[in-house]
Amino acid sequence: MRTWCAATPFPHLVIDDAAIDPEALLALLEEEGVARYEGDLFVFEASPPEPRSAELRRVREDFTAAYCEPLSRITGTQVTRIDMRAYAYRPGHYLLPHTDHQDGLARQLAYAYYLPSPDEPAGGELELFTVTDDATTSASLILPRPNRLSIFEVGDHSLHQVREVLAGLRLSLAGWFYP
Amino acid sequence: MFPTAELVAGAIDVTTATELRGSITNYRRYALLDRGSYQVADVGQSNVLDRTMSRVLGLAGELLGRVVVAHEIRALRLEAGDYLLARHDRVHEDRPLELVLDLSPVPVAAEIQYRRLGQVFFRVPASPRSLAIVQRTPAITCNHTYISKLRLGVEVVRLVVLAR
Repeated sequence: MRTWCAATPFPHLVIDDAAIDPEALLALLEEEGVARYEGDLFVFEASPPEPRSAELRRVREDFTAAYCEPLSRITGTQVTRIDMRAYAYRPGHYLLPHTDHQDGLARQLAYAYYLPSPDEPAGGELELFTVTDDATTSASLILPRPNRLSIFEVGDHSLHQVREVLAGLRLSLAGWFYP
Repeated sequence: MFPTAELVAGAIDVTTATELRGSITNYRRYALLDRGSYQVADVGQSNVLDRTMSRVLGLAGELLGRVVVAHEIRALRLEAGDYLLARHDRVHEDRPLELVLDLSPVPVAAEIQYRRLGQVFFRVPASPRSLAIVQRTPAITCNHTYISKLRLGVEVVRLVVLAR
């Protein structure tokens, strides 16, 4: 918990070798399917907010069972459930700086689990920012390494982005932990 | 009745666009990244600006059938990695006309998106010398899309005029 609180620019952690069989997780993405989403903040491909396939729902349950209890201890924030979508970032895809915090949504922790890719991505790093009144400054860069889980606290201060993917394919499972 | 949203191709000639673009030099970077990343400049008086404003206000006046008067002019320059988000846009209670003259040297895969209730209803491609004429209302927001780093070295220059 001390490490979590001391992380800068805001509480976060990175867990490598996070799943037992990442190749199996990659296979289920083909079943799930993704569609293109585009807004002023992002361009990417993603699965629907609620998984279509029983396999992805099962993965979500497995993540819930594996991570809610230890993360509640590590972060000091009680979390009991997660949502999960699959994301595919191709060259030119991005998610610009934002905090994830929205009143009424109760997002406590954000997570992204990076899958092995058939075409290793260039770019696509998770970038965390320090925010002051008149500037935002890059403070931490987390590479989307296969089988890596990144988690950070969601709040007004948790400004982050997914840098543009410049080549290859960045595949991930991502969402939020809730009370 | 829907507000005006029109795009006029070739609104000014190449010489005027090049001269006006070259005359704007006092850019400063805006970098509150949860709102935008771009350069902005005030545009000082000059002969080329006077000629350009006469032309674009005339085109807007023809479209609306009335005299159009500018009350605010600024230039925006976006390079690879730059953008303006909708949350950085102003709410226009006074329903001005927004005139956007593209001064970019070459076309770029980028656009301005005007949204009503979050849905894009008018797209302005980064097309050199085009003029967008948009009636702003409090319900309309605007964003300038991200410029990909896959095309390093590109530049989008937009003269943004608020008029009545």
